[in-house]
Amino acid sequence: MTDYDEVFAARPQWTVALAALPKPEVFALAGRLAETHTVRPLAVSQAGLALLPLRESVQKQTFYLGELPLSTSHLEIETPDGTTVQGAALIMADDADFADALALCDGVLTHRLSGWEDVAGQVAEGLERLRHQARIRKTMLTRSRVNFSLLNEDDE
Amino acid sequence: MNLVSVEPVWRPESQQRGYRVLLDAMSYPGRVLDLRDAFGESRAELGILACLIDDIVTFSDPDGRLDARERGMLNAPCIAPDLADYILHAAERPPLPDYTPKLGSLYRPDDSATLILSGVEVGQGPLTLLLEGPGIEHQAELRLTGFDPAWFARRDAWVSNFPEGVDLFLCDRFRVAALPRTSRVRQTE
Repeated sequence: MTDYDEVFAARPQWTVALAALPKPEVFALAGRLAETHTVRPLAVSQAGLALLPLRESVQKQTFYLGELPLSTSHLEIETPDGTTVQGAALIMADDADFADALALCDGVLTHRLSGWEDVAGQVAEGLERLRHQARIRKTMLTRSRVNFSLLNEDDE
Repeated sequence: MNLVSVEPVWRPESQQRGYRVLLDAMSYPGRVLDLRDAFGESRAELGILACLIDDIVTFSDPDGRLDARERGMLNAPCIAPDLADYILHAAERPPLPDYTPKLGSLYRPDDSATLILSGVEVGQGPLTLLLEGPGIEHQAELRLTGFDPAWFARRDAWVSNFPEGVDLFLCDRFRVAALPRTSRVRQTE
């Protein structure tokens, strides 16, 4: 049973949650949504590398930390009854088609268009995967903790 | 998986074909070339902008010829025409009396504007331009419909201080011709 309140409260995590799922599952979901709704791009979907600018704290000068893969999508979604909404996605991946799929899911779920329950279910599954990953990382961190205080005692 | 289909004018392969046509147009001033092979049924003015513009340059659409979606798809900052790198004009309207696009400078002639004048018909019509200069053997004739003659009088002034000046693309629904700043133009009716 999907907890819709939890899904809508986690809106900043939607893209991350969906990206945590196998891509074929997300594409299949987006494909079903695209059969119901008319999808038009509002900007040319792009995939490539982006520079990450940061400002250092002493001289306040901007420098580029490095490059990261980035894909963007901005879509207009029209329902069969003529309602028009927008969806968008910005992901750290070199895959414009995947950004399109996430943008479509974003628009459908945000505006609760036909099929939004399916998207919410996938987001909930993605959130659960993220929590599972976080638990594994926390366990690894705990097990790999080093107590440096013992080294100090040996020196003495 | 391709969820979203876009018109040919926004596809890279179409823009590459269109860019080749624009290079040919600039290389042979006054020659009328068809853009339908590149952009299908999309408007030539939109295809030219799609080929030339990205988010690094600026453009202006003072006559409102593009709709909101087309502006968004171009993904370039839209600013005042006297500051823009690329400007789309309705050629039937004469230029405003005090209008001067960017002309560049002696050291930066590239910092000048490219104007896209969109008229009714390129290749036929009552307004005749006689062209001479690089890329033209002896003399070329370009006939136009729906282009206010004032544009070409003003262009003469804008390109009078070479290498400063502007470059022009003249287009109708599907066709394009170019007038680089090196071309000498004489009008006859």
